[in-house]
Amino acid sequence: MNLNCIMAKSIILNKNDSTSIFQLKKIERKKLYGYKKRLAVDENNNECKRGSLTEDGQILIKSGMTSQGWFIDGGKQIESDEIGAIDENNNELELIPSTLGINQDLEGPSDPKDLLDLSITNVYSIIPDQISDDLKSSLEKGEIWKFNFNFRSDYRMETAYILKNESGYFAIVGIPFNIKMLIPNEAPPEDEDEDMNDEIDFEMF
Amino acid sequence: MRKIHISDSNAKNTFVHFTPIKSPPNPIRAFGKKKVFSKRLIVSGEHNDYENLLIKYQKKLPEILINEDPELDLELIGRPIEKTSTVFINNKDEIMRIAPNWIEIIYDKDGNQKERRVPKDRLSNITDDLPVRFTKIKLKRKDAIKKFVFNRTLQLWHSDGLTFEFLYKIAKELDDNDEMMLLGGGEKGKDPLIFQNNGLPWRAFLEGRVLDDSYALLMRLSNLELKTLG
Repeated sequence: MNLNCIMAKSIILNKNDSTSIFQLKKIERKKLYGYKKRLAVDENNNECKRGSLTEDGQILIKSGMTSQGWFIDGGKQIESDEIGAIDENNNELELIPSTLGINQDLEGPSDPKDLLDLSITNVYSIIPDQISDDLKSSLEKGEIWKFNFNFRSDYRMETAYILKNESGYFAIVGIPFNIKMLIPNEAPPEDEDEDMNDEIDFEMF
Repeated sequence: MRKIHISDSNAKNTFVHFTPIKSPPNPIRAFGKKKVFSKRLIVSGEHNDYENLLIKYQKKLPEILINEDPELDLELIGRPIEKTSTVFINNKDEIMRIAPNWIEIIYDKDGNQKERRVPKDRLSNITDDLPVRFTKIKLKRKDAIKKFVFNRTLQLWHSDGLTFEFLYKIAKELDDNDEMMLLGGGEKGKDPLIFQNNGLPWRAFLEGRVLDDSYALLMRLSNLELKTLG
């Protein structure tokens, strides 16, 4: 079934020749829990804007005064639409189109460990426009299924898992990673910069 | 390399290394096979933005924009920006010479302002003194993934034979039972974990994997429940 024209922004999933169609809504923490923001104020409690001063102190840079330019070694500037991608072995990568509106085969049922080993990029609440009995009954039993997902065209395909809980249906999207199994004489881990910080507050419990 | 003080359900405790599991790298931006890099460039001058030009030219601005290009500051445009210092600008458009005060605004989930207050510091509870403790809350893996979005993973890492045995045993027990166990921080060992001052609080679950003589003991962190937006 090709529903590209009428379902441009839907997730379309095939399981055993039956098609299910879902609308998607991104889940963000601030929409679930609210958020907090810190503001700089002057002595009269008026809001202050943040700016940057160049090293020589000559130019005050305010919001909107700069833009990003792309260059290669030698200084040649590259237009945004000329930029592609390569992998770590210097192989050029093909642009992979968005999967929205395109039938995707479900693989599974998957092991929960596979979902745990996903570096999550986005979480969507998905609302069925149409769901096959087969998929519905499998998800209600607690099974999870894997499919290819790209919200927009990109140089890599992301992996998504569909699951259901008492609140609804969800698609959890990300890139799989590998877990290193440690042996008794394992060398210590490399020092890594880590940033556990974030701006947004939340109250989960 | 950071260490964490961890105590098991028998109050046996030790310090172990932990390291974040990083996301696989993104594809590298390139022009053909040549890597590209970005630079920040100035595209307009401080006094050439719309607001300043409107104040200066008022009703004549559209005509002047067409005929004279006052928005272009040819001495500045295209100049790359490298090192800069952050400054604060007051409502008179002046650089502040003294540090600003800070206020914290709390918004609800609909974006409505709930409270304005003096910022409250949230201190890290990953300290040498207080171990992170096991709680009695355990979830099967299949249930945990339906309740929480685990968006960070830390791997606990032994440093000698004793810590290998300690971590291996925990990993094996959890793996054998297909369970994940909630950890707690703070004095009572029930609080979410805060890894750095003013950092986010994370709910942390231990998950174990064992294969022959090797193990992985993973701290799965979540700051998001899996539920629909009201």
